Amino acid sequence: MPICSYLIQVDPPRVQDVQADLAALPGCTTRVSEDGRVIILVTDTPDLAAEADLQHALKCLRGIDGLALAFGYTEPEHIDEMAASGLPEVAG
Amino acid sequence: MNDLTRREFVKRAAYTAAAAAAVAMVPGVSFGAWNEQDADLSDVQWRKTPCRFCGTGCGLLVGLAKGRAVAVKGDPDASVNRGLACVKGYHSVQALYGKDRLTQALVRRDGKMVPVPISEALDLVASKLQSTIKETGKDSVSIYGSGQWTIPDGYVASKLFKGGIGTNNVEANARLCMASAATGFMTSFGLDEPMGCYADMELADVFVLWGNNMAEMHPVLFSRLLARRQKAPDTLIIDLATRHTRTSEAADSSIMFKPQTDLAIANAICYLLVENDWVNHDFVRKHVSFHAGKTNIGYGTEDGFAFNDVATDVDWDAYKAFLADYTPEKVEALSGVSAANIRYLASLYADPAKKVVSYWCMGMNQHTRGTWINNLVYNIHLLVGKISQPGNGPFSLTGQPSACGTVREVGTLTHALPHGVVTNEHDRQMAAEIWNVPLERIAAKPTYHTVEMFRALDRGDIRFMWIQVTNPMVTMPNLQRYRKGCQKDDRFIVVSDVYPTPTTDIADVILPSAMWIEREGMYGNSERRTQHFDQLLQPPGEAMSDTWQIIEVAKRIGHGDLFPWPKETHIEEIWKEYGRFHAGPKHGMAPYEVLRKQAGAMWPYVDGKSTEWRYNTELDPACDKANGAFDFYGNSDRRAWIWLRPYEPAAESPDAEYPFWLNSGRVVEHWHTGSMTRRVPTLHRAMPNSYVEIHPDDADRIGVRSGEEVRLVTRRGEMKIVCWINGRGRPTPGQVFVPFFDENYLVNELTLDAFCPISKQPDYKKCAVRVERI
Repeated sequence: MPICSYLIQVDPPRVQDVQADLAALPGCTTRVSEDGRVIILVTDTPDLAAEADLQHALKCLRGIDGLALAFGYTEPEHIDEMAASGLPEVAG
Repeated sequence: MNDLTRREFVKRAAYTAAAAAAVAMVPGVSFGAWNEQDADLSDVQWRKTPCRFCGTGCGLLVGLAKGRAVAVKGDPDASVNRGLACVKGYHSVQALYGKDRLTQALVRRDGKMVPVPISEALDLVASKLQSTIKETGKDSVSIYGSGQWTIPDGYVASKLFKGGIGTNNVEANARLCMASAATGFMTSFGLDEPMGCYADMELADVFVLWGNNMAEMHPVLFSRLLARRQKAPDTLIIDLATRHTRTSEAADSSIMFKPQTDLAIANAICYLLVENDWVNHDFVRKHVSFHAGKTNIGYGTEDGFAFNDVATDVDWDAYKAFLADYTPEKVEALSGVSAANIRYLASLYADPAKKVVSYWCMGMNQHTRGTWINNLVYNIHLLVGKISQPGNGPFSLTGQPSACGTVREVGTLTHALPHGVVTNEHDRQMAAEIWNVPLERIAAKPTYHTVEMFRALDRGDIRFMWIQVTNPMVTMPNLQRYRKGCQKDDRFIVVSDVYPTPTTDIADVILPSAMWIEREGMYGNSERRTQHFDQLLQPPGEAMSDTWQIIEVAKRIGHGDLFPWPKETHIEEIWKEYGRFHAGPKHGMAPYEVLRKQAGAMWPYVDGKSTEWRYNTELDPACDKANGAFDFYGNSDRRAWIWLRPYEPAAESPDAEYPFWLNSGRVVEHWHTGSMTRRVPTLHRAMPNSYVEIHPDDADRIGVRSGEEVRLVTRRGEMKIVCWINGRGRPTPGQVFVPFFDENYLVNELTLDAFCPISKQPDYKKCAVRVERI
């Protein structure tokens, strides 16, 4: 059950549209910076596959200038699964 | 904590990490309070510690539950970071729990590493140490540590090798990182470490960053500069660099110069200060003296290279004549920085209404004239008298968490002692008395600095090396030579570490180390702040602190009497003994009890108070008020020294065969060689592999695009690596940049082992390379 946070850079005039699109995605909580340039998105998804789907959906959103992963947490039992999904041997 | 509240807790941590990253990455951004549910955190115990990673020395609060570290937050009571942390800090505890942690000792038998009880491994280390001394002498054994050593680690290493065995074969990787800063301070002021402190960040009007990507390398401190500018909009951040970075993006001015020409730029600024009569003559007359050293001093690329500088007293007129070579127009032609921009820089330093701080780190220190460029930036501040005052001064930032505290203050370098140097009889006498060893046992002659120590290992002059908490098989320049040296048949290499690395690959014995808060210790950060941390966790398996590993070996070779302390209190006892070396107003250390209570204290710690600005008679109790407003008491003339240091070219410059400069460095996600941070999934995924940055015009000419592989070739080695064009950083034309965090791309197989002849610190920023399309 991964928990991640992302930094999303947006064009301030479009921030409300982007925030609405994010709110429609499952497991998403947002907070917008005071100047409307950056959204912090915290995601809480049931498994790695759902997180990957969500990441794909984020990449497809319109109005986003930049998307950066800031934090990732996975339950210990999913670490091996994560390693198998493409992380190199050193990670874990 | 039940699962729901734990998840809310992690979500809060996720939010906090993103907010911290946003502050570092997007200048001026701010968020209101997080509308978070109040999670039940009653079973989480929060304990203070300094961060494990860089030299900033952020105070962290680590959340403990059921014997594990489950969370991290910035310590709001820590003056360094005031509740903030960077992306590495927020993920720091995850680095404790990589699945391949070393938990048992390993010994090489028939070419394979075999697990053994740690007591058996320590027996073997001790017996090999003794037999090597017997067969080839005490100077054939060595210890190589780190600025990530805790202060007690470094102290017992020095005591055993210098006071017990009687060899000066003690070095640390801070030689690769901070030696030029130390020799810069020593030659200009007679004492090491900055005169100012981080409080300057809220007081200065202008920040000049000399070759320093502070936004990525010291992000929490950079956020303080940004906060200062937000509060005082006239504040200026000047990025003076060879590579466009996130720091450049946030700076008010980004001025790019050709590698190595910082020497000429600094002299040109001084030329303009003198030419325009912007000098603070009263300060210079009372507090400065002028000196010239040797020139054309070499680069140390040959074995056994030796150099000793000699200072000659000169006067103001000689200094003025020396500067005549550095007109803005001449330096424009050399450096690529316009004469107008050089004048602009000089005007900022000169403006009597502006307080100015200069910051630097590896750009100036990893430099074949590293000591010189440190001296030259001091010259600027001394000419205008902007030094040792709140908001005014030069400040060298540190790379590692205890490069200052352990390596520079304890003196874990071949020439040094916990107080002073081995060549000084008084300093040896002090060490002999405190250590209770015969004076004659402490050798009076330095042996090998780091590069020469690895050369000695290659030659066979050194046969035994114990490496603790560092990864030289990734970090040594001209790496292929030194790896082959380590692998020779009659060499014996002991490695103490927390994870397998390319250095454990060449070990004969691997000792599993307790990491950070799995043991008690202290670090000393860039601003002379010593910070204590308790043991908060049990180390895994048989892992043992580096301090106690050394003590266990000492007992086995007959030097147990040097370390008579019980295990329960040995860190406190070490601190008390070590404190005797620095007693007094110039370097007094805070008592153990004080360090345990608060988020650090700055030395000189006098009458229960930290000293924030040294050499200022109003603020530094060590000063003699008879000297006026300032007293540079480190030098016998009680003045700061202005040095005449010329521009000299790099050891290896681009030519027709190797037409590019090769620069190397770090990235924000990873700590040094990545041996810890690459085991944190989030950090690894954020920056999984190394790459080479190429300027887009050069990429067009070579015919490569972002994501394609190129071959980098130097006179020492070659590598294939993916290029990244207009990515996070953009080098100036004619230069490429490769991060060194990825052990799969060993850029140091390509770098040159040339060093500053005074500091002996290698230059990782400049050698010649060819870029080939594949």
